Amino acid sequence: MRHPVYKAVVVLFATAMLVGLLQLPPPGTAGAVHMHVSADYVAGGAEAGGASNLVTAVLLNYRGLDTFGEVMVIFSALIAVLLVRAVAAGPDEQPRSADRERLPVSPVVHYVVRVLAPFLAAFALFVMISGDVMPGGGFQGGVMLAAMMILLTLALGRGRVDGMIRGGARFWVRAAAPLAFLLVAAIGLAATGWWFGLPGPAPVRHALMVALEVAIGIGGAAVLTGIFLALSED
Amino acid sequence: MFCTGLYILLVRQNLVKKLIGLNIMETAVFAFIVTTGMVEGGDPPVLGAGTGPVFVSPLPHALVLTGIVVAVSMTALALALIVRIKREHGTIELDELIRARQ
Amino acid sequence: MVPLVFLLPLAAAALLPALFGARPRLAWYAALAVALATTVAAAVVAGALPAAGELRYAVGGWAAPLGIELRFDRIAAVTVAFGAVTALAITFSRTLTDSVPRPVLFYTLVLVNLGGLNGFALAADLFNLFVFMELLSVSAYALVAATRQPGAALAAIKYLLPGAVSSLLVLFAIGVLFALTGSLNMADVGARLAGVEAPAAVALALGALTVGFLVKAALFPLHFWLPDAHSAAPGPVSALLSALVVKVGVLGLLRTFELFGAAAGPGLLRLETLLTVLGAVAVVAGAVAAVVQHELKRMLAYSTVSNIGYIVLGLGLATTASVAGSIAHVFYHGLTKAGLFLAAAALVDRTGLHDIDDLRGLGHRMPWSATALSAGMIAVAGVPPTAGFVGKWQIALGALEGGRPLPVTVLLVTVVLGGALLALAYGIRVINALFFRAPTHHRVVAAREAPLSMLVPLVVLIGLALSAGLSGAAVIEFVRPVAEAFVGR
Repeated sequence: MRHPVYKAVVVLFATAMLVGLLQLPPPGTAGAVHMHVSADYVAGGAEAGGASNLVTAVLLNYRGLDTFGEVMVIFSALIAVLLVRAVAAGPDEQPRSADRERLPVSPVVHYVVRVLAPFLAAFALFVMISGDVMPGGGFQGGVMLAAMMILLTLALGRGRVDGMIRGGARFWVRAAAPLAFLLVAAIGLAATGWWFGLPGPAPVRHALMVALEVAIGIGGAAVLTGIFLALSED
Repeated sequence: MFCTGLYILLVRQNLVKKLIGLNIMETAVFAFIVTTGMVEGGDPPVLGAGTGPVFVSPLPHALVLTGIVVAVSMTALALALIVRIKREHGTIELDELIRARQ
Repeated sequence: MVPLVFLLPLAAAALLPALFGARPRLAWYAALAVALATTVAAAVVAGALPAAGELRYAVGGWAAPLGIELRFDRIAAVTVAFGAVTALAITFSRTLTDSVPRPVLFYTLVLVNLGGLNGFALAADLFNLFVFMELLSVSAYALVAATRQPGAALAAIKYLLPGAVSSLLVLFAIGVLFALTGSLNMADVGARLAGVEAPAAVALALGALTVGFLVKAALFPLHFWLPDAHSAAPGPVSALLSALVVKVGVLGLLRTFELFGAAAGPGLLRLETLLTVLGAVAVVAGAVAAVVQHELKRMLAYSTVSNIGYIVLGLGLATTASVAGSIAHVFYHGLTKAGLFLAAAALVDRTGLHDIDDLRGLGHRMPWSATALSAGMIAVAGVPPTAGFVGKWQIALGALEGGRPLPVTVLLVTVVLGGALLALAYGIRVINALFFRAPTHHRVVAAREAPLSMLVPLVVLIGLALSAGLSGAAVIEFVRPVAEAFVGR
C-alpha cells in the first residue's frame, strides 16, 4: 500500500530530471562552456600541472585538498567499520587461532595464488608509480594490491594475512595516505607559502607526487584489506 | 538509471537490496558527471606523443574517482551495520524490523 | 592559518589510532587538546575578519577557479562553536568508556566529524563542500552506532540511507552546475549562472540541492530519520548531532541561496514560500510530537525537529530580522540542545533508565544534572532572556514585517508563539517529573550525581544558554550583514 506513493515519487523525480537534463548544453562541443576551467589545465600542460596525466595533475596538484579529503573518508570508513564491529563482537571475544580461519581450498587455488601474488604486487606498484604519465595512479594500484591481499587470505588463511603487519604498526600503515598528504602539504607550506602547494623545481615536485601516489596506494590497500578482514570476521 | 536505483531503494524491504539500489544511483550520477566533460573527438586527458590537441576534460574524471572512493566507504560502513543488525535482530528486512520494535 | 581549522582535527584523527591505540586515557587527553586548539584557531581567524568581509585562501597557491578556494566569512565563524561544543562533548565522554567499545576509535571519529564540519563551513568550492560533507556524514553515521544499546545499528542505517541519497542529490546538482558553467568555484558558478539560458536545468540543480540539504537538516516531512538516530546514539553523540551536524543542512541552504542569487529569480520566491510553509508545519509538528513522547531523548530529538522548523521558517520569511534570527538560532539552539542532551545523557547513564516517568524524583538525587536539564528546557522554549528567545523573537519580528495579508501574518505569529508554548509544556512535564514526584523506580533512589567530567560541560553549556540575553544583541549584530546580503540579493 506504500508502493503507489513511492512510484509517484520516482516518476516525479524522473520527469524533473529529464526535463532539466535535456536543457544542458549537448556534450561534445570543443571550446564549449564546460571546458572553462579545464582549458587552462590543458594549456598549462605537464609543466604547470606536474604530470602528463592531467587527471593526476588535477587530483594531486590543482585539487589536492579534495584528494586529501577522499583519503580521510576511506580511512574514516575503516575506523567506522572497526568501531561498529567492535560492538557486535562484544567484550568476551576469543582471539582466533589461525587454523580456524583456513577455508578448505583446493591445492590448485592455493598454488596459483601463491605464484601470482608477487606479480600482482609488482603490477600494482607499477600502476602506482606511473600514474603521472599514463592512466593509473595511487588508488588504482592500491585497489589491485588489496585484491591481491584478499586472494592471499583465501589461500593462506586469515591468520597469516592478519599477522603480516605487526599490531602496533598497523594503524601507521593504514594512515599512510592521509599522513603522507599532510607531510607534503606541510612541505608545500614551507616551500611555497601555501598549504598543499607543490614546490617549483620539477624533479622535486615529481618525486613528491610519486611518493604521494605510493603512499595513497599502500595506505589505500591497507585500509581496504582492513575493511575486508573486519567485515569477514565471523 | 538513477530512478531505477531510487525505486529499488524505496520499495525493497531487504536492507542489502536497498544498498544495491543506492549503489545503482551512485553509479548513475558518476556516469552523468563523466559525460559532462565530453569533448567530441577529444583524446583521453593524458598528454604525450600522438595525443591531442583536443582533449576531454580531466576535471570530471578526478571528481568521479573521488566520488567512487566515497561511495565505497559508505557501502562498507552500511554493510558493517547490516551485519550487526542481522546479529542483533535476526533479520534484515525493514518491515520485520519495524514490527519487532513495536 | 585558515586551513588549520580543519587540518588540525583531521591530522589528529589520522594519528590518534597509531599513537594511542592501546591507551584510551591518553587518547582522550589528545582529542580534547586538539578540539580546544581547533576552537582557538577558529577564534583567531574569526577575530581577524575584516569589518564587512571575508578571508579567502587559495589552497596550494592555485587561484580559483583553477584550484580550491576556502572562504572564512561570518557564517564560517560558527566553526568556533563547532570546536567548543565538540571539546565539551569529548570532556563529557571521559567516563563513558565502558559502554563505548574501543574508545580510541570513538575519539578518532569525533575528530573527523569536527574536521568535516569545519571544512564544510569554510568551503568555497562546490566539490570540496561535498567531500567535507561526506566526511562529517560517515563519522556521524558510525558514531550513532558506537554503543552497546540494542537498536543503535538500526538507527544508524536508517540515518545512513536517506543521508546517502541526499548527498547524492547534492552531488548530482553539482554535476548539473558544472555542465552549465564549467566551474566548481561557488563565486564563479554564481556569476556565470546569470548568463545561462537553461531555466529548467537551473531549477533542477536548485531543487536537488534544496531537497538534499533539507533532508540533512531534518525539516518536516524529511525528518523521519532523526528521532531514532538522535535518541539511540550515545549521549555526547546526540549532542553533536542535534547541535552541530543537523545544522549542516541549514548552512548548505544558506550557501545555496548565495549561489543562485542572481540567476533564479521567481524560482527562489516560490522556494521561500515553500520553506515558510514547511518550517511552520515543522515547528508545530515537532512540538506536538515532543509533548507526547515518553522517552526523554526522543522528546529532545523532536524538539530539534521543531527548532529546525523555526530556523527554516526564518529563512523562508526572508526579511533581515527573520534571517538574522535564524542564523542566531543556529548558534543558540546548538548550545542549548547540546547542553540538554548532555544533561539527559548524565541522567540516563547514572540510572540506566530512559523514560521520563521512570525518572521521577531524580531531581533530588542528581540535583545538578536535573536542574541543568530543567533550565535547558526553559531556555529551549524561549523564555526571555534565555537562548531560545533571541532567535525566535527576531523570527517573529520578521513575520510581522514583510507585508503579507493579515490572516497569514496572524497565523505565522501564532505558530511562533504556539511552538514556544508547547515547548514550555514538555519542559514543565520534565521538571514536574524530576522534582515534584516521588520516585517509582529503585534505580532512581540509588542514583548518585554525575562525575565532574560530565557536570562541567553541561553546566557550561546551559549557563551560556541561560545568559544568552547578555550576548544576544551582539550576536544579532554580528550576523546582520549576512542577513542583509541574503535578503538583498
